[in-house]
Amino acid sequence: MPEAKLNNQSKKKKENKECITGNIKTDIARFQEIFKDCADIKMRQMFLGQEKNIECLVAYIEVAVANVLFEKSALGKLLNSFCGMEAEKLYDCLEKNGLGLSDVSVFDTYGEAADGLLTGDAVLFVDGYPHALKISDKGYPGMGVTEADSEKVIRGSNEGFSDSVKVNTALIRKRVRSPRVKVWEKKAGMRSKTNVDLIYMEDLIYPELLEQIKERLNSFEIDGVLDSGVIEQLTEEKWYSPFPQFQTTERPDRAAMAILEGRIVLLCDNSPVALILPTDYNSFIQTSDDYYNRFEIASLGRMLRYIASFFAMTLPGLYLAVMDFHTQILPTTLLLSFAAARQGVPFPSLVEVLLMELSFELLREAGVRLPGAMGNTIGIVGGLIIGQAAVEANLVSPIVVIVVAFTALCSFAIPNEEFATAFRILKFFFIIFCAWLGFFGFLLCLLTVLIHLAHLKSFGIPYLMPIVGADLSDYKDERDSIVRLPLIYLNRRPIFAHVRQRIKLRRKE
Amino acid sequence: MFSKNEKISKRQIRRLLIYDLFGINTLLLPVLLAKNVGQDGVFCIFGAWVLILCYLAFLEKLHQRMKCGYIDCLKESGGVFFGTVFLCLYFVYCILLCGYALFTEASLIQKCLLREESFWLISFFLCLLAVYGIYQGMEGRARVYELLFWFLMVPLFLMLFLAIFHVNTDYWTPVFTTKPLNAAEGIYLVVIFSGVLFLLPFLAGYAKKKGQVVSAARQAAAFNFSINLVVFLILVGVFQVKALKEQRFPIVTLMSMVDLPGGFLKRQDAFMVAIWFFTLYAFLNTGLFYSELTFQHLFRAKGKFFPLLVAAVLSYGLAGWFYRVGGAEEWYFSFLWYVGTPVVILLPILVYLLEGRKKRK
Repeated sequence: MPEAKLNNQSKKKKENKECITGNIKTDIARFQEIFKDCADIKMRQMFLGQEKNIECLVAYIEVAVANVLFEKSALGKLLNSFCGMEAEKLYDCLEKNGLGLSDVSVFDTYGEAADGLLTGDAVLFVDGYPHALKISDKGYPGMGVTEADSEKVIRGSNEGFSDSVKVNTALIRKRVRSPRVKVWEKKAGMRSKTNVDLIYMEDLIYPELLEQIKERLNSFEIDGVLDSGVIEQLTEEKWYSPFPQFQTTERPDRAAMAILEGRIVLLCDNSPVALILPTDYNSFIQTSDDYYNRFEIASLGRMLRYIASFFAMTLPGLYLAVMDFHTQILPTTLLLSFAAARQGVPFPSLVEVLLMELSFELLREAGVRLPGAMGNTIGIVGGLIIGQAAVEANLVSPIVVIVVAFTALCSFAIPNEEFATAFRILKFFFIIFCAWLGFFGFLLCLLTVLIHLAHLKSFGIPYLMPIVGADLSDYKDERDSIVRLPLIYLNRRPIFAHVRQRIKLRRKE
Repeated sequence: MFSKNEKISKRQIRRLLIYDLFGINTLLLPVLLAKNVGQDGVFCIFGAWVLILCYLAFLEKLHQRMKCGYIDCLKESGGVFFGTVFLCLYFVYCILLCGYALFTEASLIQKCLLREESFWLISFFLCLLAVYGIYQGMEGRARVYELLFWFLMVPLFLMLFLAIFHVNTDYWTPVFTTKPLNAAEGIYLVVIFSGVLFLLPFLAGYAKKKGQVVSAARQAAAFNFSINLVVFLILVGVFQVKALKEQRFPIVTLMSMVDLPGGFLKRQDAFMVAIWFFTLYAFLNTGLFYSELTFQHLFRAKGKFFPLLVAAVLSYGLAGWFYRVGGAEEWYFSFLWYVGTPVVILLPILVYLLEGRKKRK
């Protein structure tokens, strides 16, 4: 067994079995060691008893405990009561739950206490008392938070990130309740002083990766960081690439999944969009419910999305190449029907396609800017009425409307908006080159995009992993790419995880 | 942390070599074989395969004996003067390969896709794209071919399978009608078309593990010779030797004849040209890569932009020369026949012998 694995296991056993001493100095030191580098976990030392001579420690997850209303909460009331008690009575109360709190658990070991804290409650250590008390409070933020608008799933949680970095951190911790989840905090923006958190699983990531992102975060000075998008653009290696090198998500379960894969999640205050690093093409095509649904449907969905990503970029160009240069490939009847549909249209097909594509982009832009219900109306008005009117007025042919609509459908099928945008932009290059050079132009553009993608990396990870460069992970990551094998075979973490921590699933003997 | 730059895996080397060999071989070799040895071309392909296997066995020994990179060995073995001469010979070989690849690909595009477009514009775009591909490094180049492999091979296999129904096996006979000398020439012709394999000593330094290059090359050669065999048999079976001799790109013509079931597409040749577009691009890229590499060492150039630019400009000029000057192609094949191929086969043998002598001392 590898040394690191043994060390980790023995460390965990030690945490789980090591008893609380009752010596507050030792207990604090030990508990702080367990939650080292966890900026979201607060530990407050205070003094109880009439003479304020009994030292204690309250540990809690920042937003999980109602610190604003500390006096009104159960924890606050408990501490207030203890402040007025004599030492002996205080210990007696602790032993017998003398204050009659219904939801108090007593822990004997540090491991239990740590797990208790990670359930979203507060943990209290008192000097001279060789146990820890878990006291229920507000708990993790729940369903009331918000829904993720841009990443809808059929199956899975509906929770989405909110604007508060603290709440977002807690939402991730709620899903991965391990003291190994670390939170590194930084203030970004000279004037805005925005909180930026890096969340990661201590033993799963490559420390070099963490250093790299910290270095990039420290490599610029800016007035204000008002959204994670600003950080994304300032820390990307190849800023000129249309393809995003950070994955974005509004879903805490997606972020939690990324953490379990050995990736780092970057949260920015006032932004509901988390950045995940490193990433690759395959990750952008995946959705959360790929893992919640059966492998057949997940695989079918993925294949469709891969095909959609190809057509979202190439279909209008391909149409132009065939119609303007290589009509011989189409059967005569189809060609005649295409020609009949174009009869009376005064523009060349390039102008026709550009007109429709630009109109569609305009509709999309207008739909996004208008308030909810009106946005939908714009879609209907634009799609149905203007489209129909344009065809009837012989401005465009029906086949172009079909091509543009199908291209739009394909771009909507890509689960990540930033990623889909890259294809939308590249689509125009395909249109121009195909109109100029036909299928040769199409091949030129395709090869250029492929070369670009083949060289693109996100924090050292080849962008086209695991379809290319799969040898880096012994060809194991291919099990979770275009086709997703049954979960039982996905027993290894992807390339992002530290090479010594690749096993994520094993059968119990 | 994750990927080692400029090092490629065995699968990537294999696919790279398959691409390098496949395009030019399937496009031009059947016609040349039909002209020289008729139906006996099948046996020439077999013969060449055996010779290439022997060469690869030798290459394995050479790699074991080499204590440094091939270019350093060339310089050490030949001294300053001969080392420079050897590199010059390689540079000329590679740049001609590159120019011819560019010419062939641009001609193919012009003939099959853009009859009215300028040859110069097509070759300019191809050259530009090749420079872009090379400039980004070896790893990225290998990844492109790794990704495209099955996307291109599956349609090709499908089309070849459908083409089998057009084959008339009577056209495969008679066999053994060629004189031994002509047959030997046929074998040599196939060997010449496997020229990329003679540049393998340079590739050793780019493999992730020692020995992967030769092993991958064996598999690539096996794949390529099998495909060559199948393509040759189908082309002879469909067109007959007489008609095959007269065609420029018979494999593309074959693709236009094959009907896909379902009838949605009437002709597939425009789409199938993509296979040769990508494979010839790979061949062009390889030529450009080795030209740039040898130029860099010849002139001790810092960085790769200038050597790449020189190689690209020369290839573009050469492609234009092949296009404009009648007989340039014949001259090129004569060069490969009498000078180029013997030199690239003999130089590694020379290095092997000199390295051995050095070891004994």
